[in-house]
This record gives sequence, structure tokens and C-alpha cells, in this order.
Amino acid sequence: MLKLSNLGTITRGVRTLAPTVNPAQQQQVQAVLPDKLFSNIELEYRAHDKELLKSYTTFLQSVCKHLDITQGKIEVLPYIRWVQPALRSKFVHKKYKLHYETRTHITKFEVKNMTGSTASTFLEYIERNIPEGVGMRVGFTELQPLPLTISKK
Amino acid sequence: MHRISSISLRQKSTLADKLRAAVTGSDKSKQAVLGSLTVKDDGGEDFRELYTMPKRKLRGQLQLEQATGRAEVKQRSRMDINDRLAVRQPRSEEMNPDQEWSNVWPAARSFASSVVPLPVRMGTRPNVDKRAPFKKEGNLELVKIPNFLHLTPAAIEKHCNAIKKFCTPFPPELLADSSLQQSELPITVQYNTYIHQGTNIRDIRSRVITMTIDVNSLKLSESSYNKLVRLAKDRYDEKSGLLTIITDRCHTRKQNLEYAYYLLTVLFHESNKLESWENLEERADNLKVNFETSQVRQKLVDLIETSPNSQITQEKIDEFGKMWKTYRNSEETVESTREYSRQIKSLLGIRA
Repeated sequence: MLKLSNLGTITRGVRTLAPTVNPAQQQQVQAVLPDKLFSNIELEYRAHDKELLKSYTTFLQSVCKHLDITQGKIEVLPYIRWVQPALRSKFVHKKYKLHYETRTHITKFEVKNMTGSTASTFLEYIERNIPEGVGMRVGFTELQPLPLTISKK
Repeated sequence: MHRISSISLRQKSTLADKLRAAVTGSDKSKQAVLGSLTVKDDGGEDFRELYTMPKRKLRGQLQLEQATGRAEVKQRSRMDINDRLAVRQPRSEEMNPDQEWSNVWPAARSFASSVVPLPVRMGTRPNVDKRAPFKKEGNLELVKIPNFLHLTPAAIEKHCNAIKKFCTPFPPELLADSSLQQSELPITVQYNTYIHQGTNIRDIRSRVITMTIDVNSLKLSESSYNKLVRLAKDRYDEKSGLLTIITDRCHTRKQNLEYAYYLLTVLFHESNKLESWENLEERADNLKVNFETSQVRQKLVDLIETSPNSQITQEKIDEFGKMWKTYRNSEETVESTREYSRQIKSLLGIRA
């Protein structure tokens, strides 16, 4: 950190960093629970191949069955299309183009009522076995009690 | 080619016989072959055979045999015989149907046609009935696509049984009683994790936190509730009674969560505080139109005194007040107006 006092030209004391706080002395805000609780975990995975997503969905379903996890709803959303045409001719003829498009297929998979350890186990296994070309968003809905700074009357 | 033929011809020579005899044992050579001449000449020497004709089939004879079709065709092995013998059949043909497939294909791997014992075909054909798609040997299309051969149902079961010990059950008390969740765990925190391939493993969207809280669980008084509603503005949804706080101004998820808790704490405590100027509140300052301090109520109460034989009672006025409040504080519809007219008529005893 550049401290102006080191330069020697200006002797004005500038406080560049906030004073360090000892976390042990800080007021506890969040209540400590033995494990996290998730009411819902939503997996949204996308790929260019819809058969691949179907196979991955069957894989997820069988994993849920074996690990005794309650399945939520499975939703296949319409694909997102990105169109980028190319000119058909080398020169002129703007009217005539080649139609190129990219389709991204989306599937949503919900999983209900899990603890933190179950969630981390399940997700680790799922994420290690994602096939190539699939991107995923995992949406967590965690249940938490009121913070300690708010007292319940 | 020429050399091989000369070798084979030489094996028929007498010299070769002699060498062979010398190697195997000189018994045979010493024994006199039946029918051969063993006449000794005057000097007591053995008869030395005169070389007139070679002990091989001559060219003419061979050609005759070939022409007639009686030639003995010798099987000549190719130069690369050893290389061709070294090549084995594909592994898939030596596989036992009862084998453990997860041992053959334990992890994700691109398709190997020699290892997979399935008769898979892949390829586009103009007419599939006439010509089948291409077979798996040397098929690049099968290699290019991702496969699930490492995740067969048996393999998934095996993996799940191995990791099952790390799972914990969800508290059954929460599953049984839905109201318990509302009372014990009123806050819902939502956040996302993103998984994608790329040069960067991070995703900036994962730091966003959405905190939802049911305001009823805060157990606020009337005045503090109103103050909270004023402070929260858009973040409070009256229909559902949920206060939503979305934070993403900090760099990490943890920081954003702590900031959300801080905002909630501040909102709560500020709404509970009673400022000195709050008692200057007038009827016009209320968020909702109040029936208790309205002129309508006053007039109805006066009606009780002025017209004693009317059927207006305090209970009826309160009931009317409830309807009046919803009418005044929500968007006017044809049904709500009709309800208003019906109630006022019944209250005042006017027959429709």
C-alpha cells in the first residue's frame, strides 16, 4: 500500500486501511446451526445437444433414487436460438444468405429438502460427472433462522 | 522370390541330404537302401553315382503339371507373416458377458471401438433401409460425441453406495410440520453457483444474494410495521408479506450475505425506534386510509344516537368498516362498488 508518509514530501497522516477487526471480538450475527438446510436446490443445465441433456437427466434421476433424495419437478424449456447468417456469394447479392444458427437447449431439475452434507455429496458427484459441453447453474435456497441481532419478542 | 525358389530346390540336393544325415545320425546313410546299387568295383570302393540329371522336377515338367492342373501348390508365407500373426482380435471379442463393466470403463473416456462389445453404428445415410450407417470401427463420429459408458446403472449404484455414508437425513420434524419452518427458519437465502468450461473458473453472478423474510415472523407492532413498510419501499411485497433484500455490491458471496443481514438488522431496529416527531402524524400521513378516524364512521355513530329505532349497531358498523377499508385501499372494481352499495343499504335499512 502506498503510504504518503513514506515519500517524505507530504507529512500528512493518511489512513489508507480500515483498522483491523478481531473476528472473535465481533458481535455474532448469524445463528450457528449444526448443518445447512436447503428447502430447494435447482439445477439448470444447458447444452447444444438435447439428447445429451436427456441422458444426463436420467442419470440425475437414478442418483436421486439411490441417495434417497426427494425429486422436484423436471422442466424442459424451449431452446434459445442464436442466428448468425453468412453471405452466400463471394461478392454482392446481399439478399441471398446461408442461415446458420446455434441452439442452446435448457433443462431444469429440482431437488427438495436436503441438508448441507447431503447437498455437498450429491453435487460433488453430479458435477464431477457432467459430460463435455454442458454448463450448469445450481440455485440454492437455504433456510436460516433470524439473526442474533434481532431478538424475537 | 528367386532366392526362395533356389532354397527350396537345394533342399532336394544330395549334399543337403548328406548334411541332414550328418545332423540326425549317420545310421540311415550307412544302411543300404533297398534296391540301390551297392556294387563295389575292383578297387573295393563304393559306387559313385554319376550326375546326369538333377534330382528335381525340370522346368518343362513343372509347366506341364501347371497346365494340366496337377501342380502341387506350395503355400508360401508373406514377408510380413510375423507382423500379421502379432495382431490380435479386438478386445471386445474376448470379453465375458458376465464381466464387471465398471472395471473395463471406470472413468469418462472417448469411445474406443475395440473395447466396446456393442454392435453400434453411426452415420447419416440418404436411405437407411438400403445402406446401414457406418460401423463402429474407425468411426470418428462416435468418438466425437460424449458417451455415458462410465455411468451404467450398475456403476451409478456402486458409486452411490460408496458415497451414501456422507449423506445426512433432513430433519423429519420440519417435513412433518410446515408451520415449524415458518416459525424457526423464517429467512430464505438464495444464491447460485455456476459450472462451465472456460479459461476462468469464476462467475461474477455467484456473489449475488437474495434474502427473503416473512415480515410476520418479526412480530412488529402496528407503528413499527408501517415504518418498516415505508423504509423498505419496493422491497416489501404486501400481498405475500415478504421482504426481499438483494445484494451484490460486495465482492464475495459471504460479504454480500453479511451485508444483507446488516440491512435487515438496521431495518428492524430503525422501525422499532420511536422518534419524537412521529407523534405529529396526521390522518393524511397514513399509508392506508383509516376507518376508525374517518368521517363516515363518525356519521354512522351519530346516526345511532339521532335515530334510535334504526337497526345500526356497533358490530354492524365494524363489519361495514372492514369492507370500507378494503374498498378505499384497493383498486375500485364493479364488484367492490356493488358490495359497498349492498352493505350500506343493509346497514341503513334501505330496501334495494
